[in-house]
Amino acid sequence: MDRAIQLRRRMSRTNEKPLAIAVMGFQAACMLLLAFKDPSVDWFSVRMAVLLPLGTLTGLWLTSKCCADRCMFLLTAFLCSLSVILLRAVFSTTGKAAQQAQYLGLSIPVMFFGVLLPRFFTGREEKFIGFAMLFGVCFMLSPFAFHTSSAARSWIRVLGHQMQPSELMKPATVFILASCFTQGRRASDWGGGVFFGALNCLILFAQKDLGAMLLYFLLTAAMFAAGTGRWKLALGAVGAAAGLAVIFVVFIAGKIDGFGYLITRIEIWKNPWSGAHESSRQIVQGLMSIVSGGLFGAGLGLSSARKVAVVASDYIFAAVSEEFGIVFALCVLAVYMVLLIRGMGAAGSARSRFHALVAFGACFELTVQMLLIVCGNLHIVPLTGVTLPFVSEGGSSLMGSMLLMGMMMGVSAVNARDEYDDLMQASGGREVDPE
Amino acid sequence: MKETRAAIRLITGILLALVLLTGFVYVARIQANRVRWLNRAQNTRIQDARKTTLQGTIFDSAFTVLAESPEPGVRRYIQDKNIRLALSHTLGDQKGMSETGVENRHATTLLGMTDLTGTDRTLQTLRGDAVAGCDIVLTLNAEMCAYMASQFPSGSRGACAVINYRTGAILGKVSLPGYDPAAMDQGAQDTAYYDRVLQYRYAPGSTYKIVTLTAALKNLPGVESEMFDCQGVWSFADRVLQCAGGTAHGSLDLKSAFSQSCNITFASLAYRMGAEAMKAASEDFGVNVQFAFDDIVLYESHCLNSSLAAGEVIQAGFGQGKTELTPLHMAMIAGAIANEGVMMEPKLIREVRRHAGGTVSSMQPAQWRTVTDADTARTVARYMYAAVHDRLSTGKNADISGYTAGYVCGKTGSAEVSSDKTKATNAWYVGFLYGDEEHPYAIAVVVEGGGSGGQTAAPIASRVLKKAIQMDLY
Repeated sequence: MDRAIQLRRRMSRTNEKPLAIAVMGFQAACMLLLAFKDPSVDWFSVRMAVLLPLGTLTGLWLTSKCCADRCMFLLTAFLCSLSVILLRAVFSTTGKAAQQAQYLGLSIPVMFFGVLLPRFFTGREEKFIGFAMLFGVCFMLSPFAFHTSSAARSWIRVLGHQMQPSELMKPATVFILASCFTQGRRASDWGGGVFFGALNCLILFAQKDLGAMLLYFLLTAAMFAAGTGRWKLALGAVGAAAGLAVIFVVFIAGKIDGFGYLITRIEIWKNPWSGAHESSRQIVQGLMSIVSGGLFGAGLGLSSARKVAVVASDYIFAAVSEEFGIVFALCVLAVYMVLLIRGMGAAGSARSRFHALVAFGACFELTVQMLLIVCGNLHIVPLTGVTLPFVSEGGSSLMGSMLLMGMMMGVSAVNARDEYDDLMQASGGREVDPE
Repeated sequence: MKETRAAIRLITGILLALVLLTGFVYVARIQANRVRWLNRAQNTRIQDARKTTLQGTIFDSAFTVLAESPEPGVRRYIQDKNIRLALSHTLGDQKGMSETGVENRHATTLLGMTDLTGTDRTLQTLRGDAVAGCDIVLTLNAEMCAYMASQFPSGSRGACAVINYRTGAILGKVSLPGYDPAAMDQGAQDTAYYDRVLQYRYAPGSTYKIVTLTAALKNLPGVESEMFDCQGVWSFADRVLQCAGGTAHGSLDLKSAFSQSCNITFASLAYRMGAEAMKAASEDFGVNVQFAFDDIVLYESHCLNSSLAAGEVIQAGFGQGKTELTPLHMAMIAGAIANEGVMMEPKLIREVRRHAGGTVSSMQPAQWRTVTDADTARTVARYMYAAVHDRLSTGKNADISGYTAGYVCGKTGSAEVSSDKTKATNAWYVGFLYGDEEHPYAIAVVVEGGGSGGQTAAPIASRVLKKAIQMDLY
């Protein structure tokens, strides 16, 4: 085997074997348990008991080939398979789980496409900015032209599949903002990026997708602060936006057609138990589901989490909590935390500001999204309709998240190559023994 | 590049802290709310579990079986229909019509969903038994409750609660009308599913003068030696205040004003103290405070929580206007006076036991709050003694003939329910036995539309307490 490759692989500093075995064991064990739960064997689960570990193994091999962070990949694989397992366990039919497994199969190539991107764009990101921005804005606007129904204005229909441009645009936005905010500290350097971010927020506001709007706003502000170092400006923008949001909710939202639901959401958040609103059922059932699991859960496939409305996407964390229990749910939070540390680690050790910002933006986006929905489920903040990355049902969200994760892994691969080059230089070009 | 790294580090730190905090809140929320959230009527897991689990037995304090399940999915109640009707709200039902009954509020205990450990469940499974929940022993006596119900005029609506003011244990409680948990298909009267002891907020009327008196003793030094003048009517702004029947009490001191229940004196005391002081004194007694007790659901009581206008304060002085309390809360207020100013947390569950034997948890008396200092409490108790025993007092009928071990203290009330003077008032009596350590009982009785508290409620209290003494409840 090529020694250079071997050495670079070692530099990603993971002994992945125990983790890989644990993840694949978990996937196989859960799917087999589900397969033989009922008197009649569920062949879908049997297939999945083989396919999920196989997919993990393939992905691990590919990650190795790219010299990217294998720990990141394995933890992502764990979260993705958790999605299929939960959808199979919570619902009595295999429909949702099978659909999600298909999306998962499609998303693995997407992820490795993401791995290649940071290297590909190195040094030539500026050539694409203008075009990317234009395309991005058009894509975000597309639901206005092709929306499927008047109620859901943030979805479009492509080849018979519903998709949400705002989910798929997240990775592109991270790239665009990263290249905008690496130019310099002057307003003319970063003005384009800020304009692009603001435009996205406006479009999402018009589509009434306020959860996504909040995410895009925070992402733009954080990347701006990290990229340009202009903290005060970024904090000022966040403060001003918070003030505007309060003014909007208190004085304006009730009067504008279509934003009344915002008031309802907040009222429900204040007192979900009053039962004053039909839709408070969701949060009440969600809270009951979360506390039902106890320490070790009701058991796989034995919970009543399906009683929570939209459990598959909005309330998947309740399903985790009820099926697997508090201890496991805390482990899932810990997995997100490890991903955060690894992703930010890759960002911190990147050589160029562009790569640092790409990994930082991707990692920030995924973590904030996770926090928003978990805190919404726990009734700490009002519920927003964002998904739990990798675990919630849904193709667009999975593709977007996988691409972001792929980009983080891509930056880690670039870092491994840079460190290899350093080592080669230090050793005067001699072959270094990887052992 | 350097500042980008610093920024990344900083934001990473913030995000890490947020994730950790979320994990912490997650565990803390479950810890704090698990039992409360699970035992909601909306939780269909309970109905599901009842089909497969052997529900625990409910005993009263004399170990009479009140409800039991010979097999999963079946629930049998005590044979005696009078006891069933008297205990309906306390026991609750399998349909979830009662929000506060033991079968509903403690469903997860009876089903073993919350009080059993994993080891308990595993042992049960290994033995091959059906999964069995926990048994519950109540603090109250079923015979006592049925007796309490029988003392109300037939067909009347109302509530009565007897508590042990030293431990907080509820010894008997009854809400009329009741419903039959064994015959849920027959339906019930419109408001019969509400536990009037815990869920009905009544205007307390003159019984609230206990609180006004406590506040006055604290806020108006020398008030005990003052003389008051009652003309029977006091016009204030657009309102006319009256003493019962418009009778003028003439010139009288504070103690006589209390024992003869002079509205005008107490209205003027509240007015002199002011809204803030009156509100603060009420809140010392737990009014306007969200109760979060382990054993029972008790609805919040209100006084001066919306408006502090002078008209409201004056009415609060004798428990009218927007002042409203639950009967159990009134019993707790009387109990706190008897217990040197310490209000105990109300308890309904004496013990939780495993089906196979062995105690899971047993009652731990707990102080809930200090409502006033011991000296003031003693003074108020003396006044309440006078309100039963003085020559012109309103509570004479509350006295218990032949009882010498302690002192019967109390306060009557006749609370107006509307501005229509022809409508019968709610009859109240609130009191306790003082200085009898064997029988530390506090009681609250309310008879809806019963008219005068001294005529209707006080005799009921007298008979109920006499029965409790005979039965030697503790």
